[in-house]
Amino acid sequence: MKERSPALLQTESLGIQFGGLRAVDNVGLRVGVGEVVGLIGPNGAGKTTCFNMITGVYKPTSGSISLSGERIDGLHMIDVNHRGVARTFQNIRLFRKMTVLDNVRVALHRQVDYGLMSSLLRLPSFRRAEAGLQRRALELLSVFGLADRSQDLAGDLPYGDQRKLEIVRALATSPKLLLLDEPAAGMNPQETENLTHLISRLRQEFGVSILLIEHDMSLVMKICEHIYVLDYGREIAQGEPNAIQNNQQVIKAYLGEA
Amino acid sequence: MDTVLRIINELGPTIYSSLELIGIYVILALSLNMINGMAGMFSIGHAGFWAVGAYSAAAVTVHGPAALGGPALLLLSIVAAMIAAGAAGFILAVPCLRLTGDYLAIVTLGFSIIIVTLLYNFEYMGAATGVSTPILASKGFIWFMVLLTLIVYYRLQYSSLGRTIQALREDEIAAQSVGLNRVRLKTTVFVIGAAMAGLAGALYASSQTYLSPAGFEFDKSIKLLTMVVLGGLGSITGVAVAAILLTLLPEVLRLFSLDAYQMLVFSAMLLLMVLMRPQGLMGRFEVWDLPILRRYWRPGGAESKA
Repeated sequence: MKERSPALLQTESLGIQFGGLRAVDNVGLRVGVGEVVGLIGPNGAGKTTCFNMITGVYKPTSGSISLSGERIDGLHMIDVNHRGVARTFQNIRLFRKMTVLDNVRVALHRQVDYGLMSSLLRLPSFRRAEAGLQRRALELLSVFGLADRSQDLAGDLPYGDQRKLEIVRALATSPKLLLLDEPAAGMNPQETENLTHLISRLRQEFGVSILLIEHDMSLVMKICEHIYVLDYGREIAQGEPNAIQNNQQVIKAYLGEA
Repeated sequence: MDTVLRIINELGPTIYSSLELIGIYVILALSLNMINGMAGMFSIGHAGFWAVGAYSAAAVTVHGPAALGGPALLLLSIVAAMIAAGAAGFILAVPCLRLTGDYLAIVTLGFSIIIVTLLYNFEYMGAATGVSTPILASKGFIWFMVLLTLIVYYRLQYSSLGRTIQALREDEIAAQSVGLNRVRLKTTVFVIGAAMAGLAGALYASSQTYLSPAGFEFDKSIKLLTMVVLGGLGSITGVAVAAILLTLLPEVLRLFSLDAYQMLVFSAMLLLMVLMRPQGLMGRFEVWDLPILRRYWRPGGAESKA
């Protein structure tokens, strides 16, 4: 087995209980610096719940989550993002009635260095910062081929482009760790191919580490260095793509008993 | 024919004599629009902030140092009104931000009722009898403040604050996932909206000869809400136009000797509006969204040429 890079994200015996339901139990994920890691499993296995715990939407009822060695479990979503974690959503959550450009500019808000007075008086600092935001937003959009749609409403984009815009929006917050929740859902094979290529580029150009949930195995097997498999909230396997593909337990979880 | 001529003759003077009130209502409606339309917080006790502003201003102009002279006293009263209403907004924002929808509406309603009840018992400012106030603000000054309010609103809307608060209104989870601080943003907008209502209060106090708590009862909050809904939640131009029309409406009805039916017309309009055009006259549309203007007018200041 290949040596893995030092841990950026590490969860230890992570679990959450909703009433009598143990949705996630004793999960230990690890994303190394610069790695692309896959999180797979049948529907309802608890993958998105893991994302929600890591990003602070849910508070885990057991275990810990650390980012570069610092505990982030129990932090508010806002603080988790400020620490360098950004995400996309399974059921796309764009600001639909805002333009594509504004979706990205909103996410660039921490780059805004002018105050209320400056925006009221439209001081040079306001104009300079706004021009900077604009430039940066268009730069990010053009990586995903969305720059020429910058003035369209986000809700008017085709489905595949909406997924891409969510990634751009997440990237705009300059994360160290990017969580992608089914980025290829609803895409045709051509689009998925294109997305696979983009995700590999992200790692090189933006230096982000990626944890992704995906059902499209061609994508997962192509770009993930390490894969975790969940079933009924428990981790049933982990390892390199080849090993996972031939793991009897994984095959059983997906296809049922033969 | 005679009636028509009479009305045309009298409409001009009627509008002219209502100019102060129209201006004040434009500011009020905009300030409520900021809270309801821009930030998406459903507040139905907005007259409370107006009352706080008006009475704080009157405290300055009535009991303050008359030696300062009219203009200085007026400015001082505006500052006092905006600070007082803004502070009230801040105090209210803290519990309110934990609430949404109906609950938020009830808290704001309770706030306005408490304010009016306090004023009814506030001997220093005349209690239920009210207080006579000096007229310090001219029509020109009021409309200058209207213009200033419009500019401030417009510039806030097309700045980072306006963008981020809109994102928060559209999807709170997504907005927080990119690190937007919900509490800070909503508090900021709530306080600015309240302070703006305070400004309208100060102008009201200095353009009327008399203030009484009865003028700030619940019906006034509803009137403001009607303006915002009629104009289109969130639309600056729509709400300003609606405020002008709805302030003039009772005056026009009076010309037809129909003023007894005022509430009937009001309610019918609101019903028709909600049934036939729930997004309001303008929706979220603005004058500067017209294609002709769009080519020359870029609200963002630095927007692209796309």
